[in-house]
Amino acid sequence: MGGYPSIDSLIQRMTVDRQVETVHWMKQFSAGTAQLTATWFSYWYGNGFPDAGANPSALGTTYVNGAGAITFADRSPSSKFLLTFGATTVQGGSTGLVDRLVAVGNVSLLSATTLPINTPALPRYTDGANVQVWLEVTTNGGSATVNLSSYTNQDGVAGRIGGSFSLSASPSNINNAFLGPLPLQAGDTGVRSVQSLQVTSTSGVICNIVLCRWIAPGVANFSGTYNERDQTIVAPRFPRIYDGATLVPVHFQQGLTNTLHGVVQIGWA
Amino acid sequence: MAGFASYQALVTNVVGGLTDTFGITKTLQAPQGAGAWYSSWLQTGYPAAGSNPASTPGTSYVGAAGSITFPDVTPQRRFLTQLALNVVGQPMTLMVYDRLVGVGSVAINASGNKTVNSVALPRYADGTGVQVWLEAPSALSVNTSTLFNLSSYTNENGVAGRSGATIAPPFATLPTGSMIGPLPLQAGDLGVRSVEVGLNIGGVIPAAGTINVVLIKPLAFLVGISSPNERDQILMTTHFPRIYDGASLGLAFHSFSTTAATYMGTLSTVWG
Repeated sequence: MGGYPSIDSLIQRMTVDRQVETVHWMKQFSAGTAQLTATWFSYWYGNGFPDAGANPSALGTTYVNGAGAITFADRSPSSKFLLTFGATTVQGGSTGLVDRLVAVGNVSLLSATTLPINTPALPRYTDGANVQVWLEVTTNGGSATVNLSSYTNQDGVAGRIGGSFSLSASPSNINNAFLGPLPLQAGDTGVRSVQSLQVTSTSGVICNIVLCRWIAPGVANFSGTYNERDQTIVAPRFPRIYDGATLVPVHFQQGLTNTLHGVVQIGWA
Repeated sequence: MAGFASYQALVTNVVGGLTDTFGITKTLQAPQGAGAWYSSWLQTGYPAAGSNPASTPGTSYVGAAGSITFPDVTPQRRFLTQLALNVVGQPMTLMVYDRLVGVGSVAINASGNKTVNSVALPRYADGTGVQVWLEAPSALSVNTSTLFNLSSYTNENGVAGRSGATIAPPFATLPTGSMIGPLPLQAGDLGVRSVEVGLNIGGVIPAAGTINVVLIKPLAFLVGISSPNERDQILMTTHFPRIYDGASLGLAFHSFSTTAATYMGTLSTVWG
């Protein structure tokens, strides 16, 4: 049986068996990278510790311990769990952690058309439950309107259509803006794959279509101050960290020119 | 069996006196602004001020003067259990780290790769989770377009010749103890075992000065405000890092403003 039958078991695993790993990470954007307040930013392209990730392929990239992310060694048949997550930032905001599953790169919103996306199969959370679709801006542009025009939901039902999502001018004209999640069809709770994206109002934005799953919701930060959230006792969520997880910090910015420092600790049993 | 088989076992050891608490008092050097790191290594207080590391191959820190140290407990294991902090002046984030190796007198007044050739790590020997920071041994005038990067280091898998992206100072004027880092690593790397002819200076080159290259293992962070803030590392965060024999714990803070400040607090451990 993977997991912890008791708090005592958790403490034994950590202190006796040393079944614990901690990553102290740092991510920052290059000097001069413009940012905005009141929007999410992906730190996938931020350099630091770990270093920046690469562009996904236009044909799709599957992330399994992806370079550029916070990763941990495979531990199967044991199960890994997030024990604590914390961050401090130069500017205030809220810092969270997502597992980056697949992405399709170089998606241009220049033409009012239906764009084929055809994401690869999910490497984790294969049923798509609670998997979300986000746009990760790589070339800035103006406002636009898109919707998921064909996707497969968490039950494997294809041909689902999501509601409209407006990219307002401000977040869209900033690289690394992380816009979403794209709305789903009523009743759906996740996405197994995306077949196409409809662009109804165009702009010069080029973006990655990223399928990801939240691991840790945001910890609030005031400028220069650290906040850490225990995931086991204070807030017993125990998010599972699957083998191959590609963990990326995301930040809801309240200021500009941000550098993030933080900690991710996992245990396994 | 070293470690704790249960929370009760941990409490028993705390109650039984197998615990050490270290009181901390340091005065912060005046920050240049928000969002920069400053080492308290050279600041007077408690622990007393440390000294700048030797030049290449540097200083290996084992129970070093200037750091927070504890008696060896092997074959038992020591863990961090509690942090407390009270700051007068400005809010801040405190980083507690294990200072492993320092290489001093690395010149930064010319471009190119500088010899570091750091001595072997005394703890975390494979380098996993070990970070490289730069520390100003005295007040420095640099440039926010001065670029530092690791141009040759050995990663946690023992692979040499690795290099990382650049990082720039947050401000042009760096008070004594200013820290820049962690220096970015090559994609896929998770730590540093050693730095060779491996600190590159680029961009706008400072007119003068040297820097310390410090290899550290971060252990914990805590926010400090003008009211006492205490955090149990066991039940509040399930984050109780091991404190190895010979650990030389240092303190650094992440600034919020330019206001001078003093901080005091405690750091507790238990062993079993």
